[in-house]
Amino acid sequence: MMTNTTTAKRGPGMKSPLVQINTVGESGIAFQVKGKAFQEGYLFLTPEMHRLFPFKEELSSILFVDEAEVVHSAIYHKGRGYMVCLTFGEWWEKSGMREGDQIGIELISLAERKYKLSRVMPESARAASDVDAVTVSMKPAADLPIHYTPGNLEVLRKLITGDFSPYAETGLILQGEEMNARTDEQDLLSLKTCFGVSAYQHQLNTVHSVLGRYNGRALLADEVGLGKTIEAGLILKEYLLRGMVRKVLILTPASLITQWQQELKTKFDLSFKNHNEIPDWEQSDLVIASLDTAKSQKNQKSVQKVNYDLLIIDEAHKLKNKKTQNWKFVNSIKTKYLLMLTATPIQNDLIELFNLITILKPGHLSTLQKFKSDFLAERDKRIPKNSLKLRAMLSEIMIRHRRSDTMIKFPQRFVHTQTITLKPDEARLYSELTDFIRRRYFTLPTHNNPRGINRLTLILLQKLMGSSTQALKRALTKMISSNFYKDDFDDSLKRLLDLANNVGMSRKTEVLLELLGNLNEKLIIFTQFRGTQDYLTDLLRERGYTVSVFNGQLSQTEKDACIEKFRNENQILISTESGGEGRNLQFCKVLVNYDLPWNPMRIEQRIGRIHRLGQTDDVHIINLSASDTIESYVLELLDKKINMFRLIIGELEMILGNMHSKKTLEQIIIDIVTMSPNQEAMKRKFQTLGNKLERALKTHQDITRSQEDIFNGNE
Amino acid sequence: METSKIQTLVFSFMDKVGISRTQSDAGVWSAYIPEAERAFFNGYEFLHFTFDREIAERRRELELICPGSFLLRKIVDRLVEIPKVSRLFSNAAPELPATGNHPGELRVLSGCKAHYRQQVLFHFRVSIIGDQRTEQLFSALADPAKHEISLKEGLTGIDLTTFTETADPALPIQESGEDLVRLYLQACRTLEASLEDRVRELQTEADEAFREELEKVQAYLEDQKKELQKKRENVCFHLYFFQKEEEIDKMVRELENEQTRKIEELKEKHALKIQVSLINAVVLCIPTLGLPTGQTATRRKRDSNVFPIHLGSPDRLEARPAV
Repeated sequence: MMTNTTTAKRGPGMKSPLVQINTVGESGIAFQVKGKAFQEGYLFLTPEMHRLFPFKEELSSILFVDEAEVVHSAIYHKGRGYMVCLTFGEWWEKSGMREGDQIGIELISLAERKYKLSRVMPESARAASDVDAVTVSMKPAADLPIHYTPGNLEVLRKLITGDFSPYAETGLILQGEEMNARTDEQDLLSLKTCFGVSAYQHQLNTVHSVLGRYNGRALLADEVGLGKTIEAGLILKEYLLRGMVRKVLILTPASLITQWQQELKTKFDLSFKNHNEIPDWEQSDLVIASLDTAKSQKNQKSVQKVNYDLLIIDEAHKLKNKKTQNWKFVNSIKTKYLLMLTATPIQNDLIELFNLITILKPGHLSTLQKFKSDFLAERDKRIPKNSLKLRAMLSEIMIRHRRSDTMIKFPQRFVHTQTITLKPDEARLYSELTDFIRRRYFTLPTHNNPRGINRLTLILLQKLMGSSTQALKRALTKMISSNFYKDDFDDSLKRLLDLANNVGMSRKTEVLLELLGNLNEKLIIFTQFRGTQDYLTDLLRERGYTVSVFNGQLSQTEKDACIEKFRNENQILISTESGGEGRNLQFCKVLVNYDLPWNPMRIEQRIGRIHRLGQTDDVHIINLSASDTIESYVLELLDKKINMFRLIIGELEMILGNMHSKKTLEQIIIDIVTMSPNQEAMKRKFQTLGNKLERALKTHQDITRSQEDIFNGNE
Repeated sequence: METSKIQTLVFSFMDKVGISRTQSDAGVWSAYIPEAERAFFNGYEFLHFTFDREIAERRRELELICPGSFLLRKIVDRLVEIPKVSRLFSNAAPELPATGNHPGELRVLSGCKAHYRQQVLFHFRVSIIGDQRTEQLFSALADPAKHEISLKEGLTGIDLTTFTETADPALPIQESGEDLVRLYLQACRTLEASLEDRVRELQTEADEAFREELEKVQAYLEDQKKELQKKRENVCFHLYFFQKEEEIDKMVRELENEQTRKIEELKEKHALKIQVSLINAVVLCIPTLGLPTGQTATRRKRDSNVFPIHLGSPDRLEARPAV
């Protein structure tokens, strides 16, 4: 330390001259204080000392660490040139300081504003004190992990400078704070702010357990249809409202992203961003993405960089294999809380379960070798030995409810398929159109002829035909009158339109009218197309039925009014699939599939509008299917091969997942329709697909059985 | 909190951060979020919101801002970050200055002028963040004249019928800027003392939970390492044993990295943090008889005379407001 002795002189802004500098160095200073100001908590800075505290702010929070590692918290008031520390006096006393003794302040870290506070012993005294050194052990006065937010000083600055705001503003914030403050920890805040979530007891138990004893890391493995997404949503919202979570990432299969987004918005009022919508992963607090996208070369590092508070993995059985990129990637994501959702934690063997649990709580099931020797039976990898012990260990990390545990009455689905034989003119139109589509599918448009009908339009024509002649007519008329198609066509479209114009009332419509004549209750008629919707609406109104019409063209207010009118007055609701997600239509229990989407998930969504938790009556699904049409083959696949209409909510997804196909079922069906040279070939291909679906169903049943054995079977 | 107050709070927040809004329908508002604020709104450019649950139930595309809603919570948190200090003046009759050690004295006051002495009401939010998070609100009333801090849980509502924002021009305000830093520190200290027992208890619990999980993780990773090392010992029987050895070494290194990461995660998860936020402060100016402290004795002598006269037992007699 460079020696430099000065005495601070009283200046206009300086309250006390009672600091005498003894030595000044690059990063430290030694001085004496006179009077009681220091003991009372004030240190008046001399100009030499200012160099040690080069802060721009008017008020700075300074930490002094003394010889006993006790931290003394001070506030430096730059404008007034002094600092206040309430524990200077305590330090003075405990250090045995006397007036005239030297105090040393040395910089430890400028960024942390941390300084060493010590008693500087004169050389002679130091020598003497070494001889008869008395060890004084001092316990930290305040070793609590308390942090004061930096904004506090800003409030203090305003207080000191008299920068006052109207009390209306201050008071309003206080009211907001009071409102945010939690009263009862047992209360779930999330329930009060959800929409249409009537949480069942098993779901509430799950939420309480995860928040409490599972400490935010759990495998939610309820059977299908018991609302795992609702449980995860409630936990997520609860954490957010309690302020325990800020950054959340949800990883789901790509096909479920939109569904998750919609559920979180409509039920939990949470707007999650699809990662595609944001420039980088750090930018948004609530992000949803597919596991494949997140783990891709492009994104992996960015995701791993973020410190998430909560990570939710849907369809977590995709992490069953420890050697896969999926497992390694998820295991490398930094997160405080982790929820893994799957109805099938075991698909092939118990090691899969071990791998899932290892991500959640490494070591919970010990090492793989030990787990194998403790719990794996020699013969069948799906059946454990010591299953009671295993179940006890699993109960500390996994929550699984069975439908039978919940006491919820699940209404049944009854399916009634009306097979219709097309009238000759309809059959002719159908067959000509199908041939036309097959011919055109691989020829148009070309590079030389880019204005031809594209494949999507061709498929659409096929689907329109399956729906109604009226819908097809409308589309054909539009195409013919459009300039876009005018030069590149023979008269096929016109011919098809002529054929369509010659078709009278279709057989399907007649069957519907017969059906309505026998029914005296509310029903929903689903169709995919506006053309069919308009036709049916006019027809049914003419026949004296009261009809509500629901589609994506309606404004929100109109949609509300439509549903209300259907609930209170009208007998029939004709709906396209574009609307109605999340709307409560459980007051109705009959559903008519006037046409059939090729995507079974869309059929499931239709049924889901009325057959869901909360429906108290059995549900009747009426399918109108014309024989020897593509729709009839699709229906046969879904109804006969996998009993789709009798499945539990959510099961269909699992069965389709077991097909392990990169294409969706709808894409496979499109391929069959377009690539089959004739009707016979098409039928054969549908049969092969049916066999595949049967195998997928069998796998699903095997998995369900083995899980039942593991989680609920006898020892 | 009533809807109108929530609306005022939200609009005041929007004004502060420069978000313009329009009422697009009855009870429905649309706001354009400027670039700088989009991160707060999870990246959205437009916010369509309502304060009415019934409307939100019908129109699920709207954001509902109501008690308990996530967005309101975030907004309040942001507003707290905007420092606010207010000053209120009591309408009450002037108090007698503090009497020191003679509470029961009768005093004759002559030529005595009144002034405002200042008290400061600090409002704190204490967040205890461990495996659970709890929040408590505290008010600390610092009274420099009485040299005391009175701390109570909850926020102190101020009765605006007894306080006003305009001072009586006839009464000077006692300046005590120098003491404010000290008052704040004293309030913090009182707060810390009141929290100490609970925090220590939570700290012990958190430490235990951490140790328990740490043991499991470490045992798991150590066992895995041993298994790998055992494998390494046997690689000499392998045809490409050098390559195999390298592979195992790499796996061990990865395991060690994982161990470090997992331990850090555990530490972070179980670390107990107590965060004290000064929500705001309200200076309460109380009319008091006598001269502001800090004025010279001679002036005090000239302007006012306060003669303490002891009358009997201090238990029976109290100093009452002079007017």
